[in-house]
Amino acid sequence: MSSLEPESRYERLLEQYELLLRAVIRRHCPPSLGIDVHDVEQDARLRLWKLVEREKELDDPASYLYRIAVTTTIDAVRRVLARKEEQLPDGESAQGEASRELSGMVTDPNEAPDAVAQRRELMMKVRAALATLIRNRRRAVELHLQGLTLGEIAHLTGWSEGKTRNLVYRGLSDLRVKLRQEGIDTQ
Amino acid sequence: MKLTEHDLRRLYQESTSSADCPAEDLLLRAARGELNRREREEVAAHIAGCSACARFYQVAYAMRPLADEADASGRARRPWLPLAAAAALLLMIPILIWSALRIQHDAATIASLRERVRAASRTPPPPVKREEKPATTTIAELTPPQIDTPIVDLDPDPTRSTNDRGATPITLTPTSNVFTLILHLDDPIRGNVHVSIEDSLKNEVWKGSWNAPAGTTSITLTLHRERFPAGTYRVKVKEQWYRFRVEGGGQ
Repeated sequence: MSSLEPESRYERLLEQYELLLRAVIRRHCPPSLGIDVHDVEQDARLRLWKLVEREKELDDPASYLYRIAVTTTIDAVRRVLARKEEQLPDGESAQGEASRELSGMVTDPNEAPDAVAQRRELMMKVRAALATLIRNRRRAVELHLQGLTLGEIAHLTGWSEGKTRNLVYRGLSDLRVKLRQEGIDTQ
Repeated sequence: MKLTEHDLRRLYQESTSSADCPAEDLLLRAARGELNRREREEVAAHIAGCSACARFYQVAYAMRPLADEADASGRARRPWLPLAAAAALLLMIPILIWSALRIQHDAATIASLRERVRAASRTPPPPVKREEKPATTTIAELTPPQIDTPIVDLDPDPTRSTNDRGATPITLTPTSNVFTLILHLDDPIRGNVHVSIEDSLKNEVWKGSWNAPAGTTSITLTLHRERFPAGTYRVKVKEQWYRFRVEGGGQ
C-alpha cells in the first residue's frame, strides 16, 4: 500500500469503505439532534485524507476507519448538542407539564435561583435513592439512565440480555419506591 | 413532583460528568467486546457516571459493524490466505510425523542407555590394587644442609604496591631450595606478632605468628622455593609491608 500515491490510496480506501461508512453513519446518527449526515461524511473523508496523507502504514485499516467514523460522529453529536443548548429556550419540545418544568430547570441559563436549588435537591434525591440499590441493580439502572440499551449494557458488562433486563427492571422498580418515599412520582 | 423516565434520564445525565475519562481506545475496545473482566467492570463503572463516555460508547457500539465488515473485507482481499494455510498444513504433516518418529526413536535410545547404566551400576567395579610401600625417608633426610642460600635484607615499602617495579629481587641458586628474608622494622617490637604473605593478586598464601622478645628490631623468615615460585610477594608485619620478587624460582 505504501508504494501507491496518497491520492490513489485514499481513493482505494474510500472505494472499499465509503458505502459501509455512509450506511453506518446514516443508521446511527440520531436524526432528532439535527445532524447533517453529509457533513459527518465529509468530515470523515477529510480525516481519512489527512491520515493517508501522513503516509502512515495502514496495517489495520479497519481499526483506523472505525476510529475515524466513531470520533467524527461523536464530534458532530457534541457540536449539535452545544448548538442546541444555546438555542434551547425556544427549541425544546414539551413533554407534559413536569417535563417542561424540568427541561426549563436543566437548560435555562436565566433560570431563577429557587429553580436551580430545586433541581439540585432533586438530583441529590435521585443519587441518594440510587445509592441504596443492590450493586448490580444500581449499575444496570445507572447505565440505563445514561441512555444505554439493554444490548449495549449486556455487551459492556458481559451479562446476558436476560440478566440485564431483570437487573434494569428490578432496579428501576426499587428506585421508584425510594423516590416515592421522597415525594417524587415516576411513571 | 412527577417525573417521566425521560426526565429522570435527562436529570441523571446532566448530573454525571467526569474529568478522569479512560482513553478512547479503551472505549472502542469495550464497544468491540475486547476487554477482560476487570477492564469491563472499570469501564462500566466509569460510563455509569460519565455521560460523555456513555455517548462515546453508544456511538462506538453502534458502529461495530463497520470494524467487523472491514475486517471481513480485509480477509476477503487475501483469497490466497486459505490456500496458503492449507499448503502450510500439508507441509507440516510430514514434518510432524517425522518429529514423532524421531521422538520415539530417541526415547528408545534413552531407555536402552538407561538400562545399560543400571546394569553397570549393579556390577561393582574391581578393586584397584595399590602397592603401598612403607615410608623409608625421614623429613630430616629430605632437608639436607643447603649451600649458597640467598639471604635478603628488606626494608618497609612505603608505597605498599603489589607490582614488580621496586620489589627487591631474589635470585635463587640451584644448590638451595630455600631463601631467607630479614625484615627490618622501623620501630622495636615485642609480644605476639602476626606475619602474612600475599601474592601479586593479593591472595594470602601464608600467615603465622611469633612471640617477639622485647627490643626486636628485625624478623627472619625462611621460605621454600616450591611454596613461593617466581613472582612478586608482599609480607605484612604490624601494618608494615615488605616487597620482594622471586626470580627463577619454583619448579
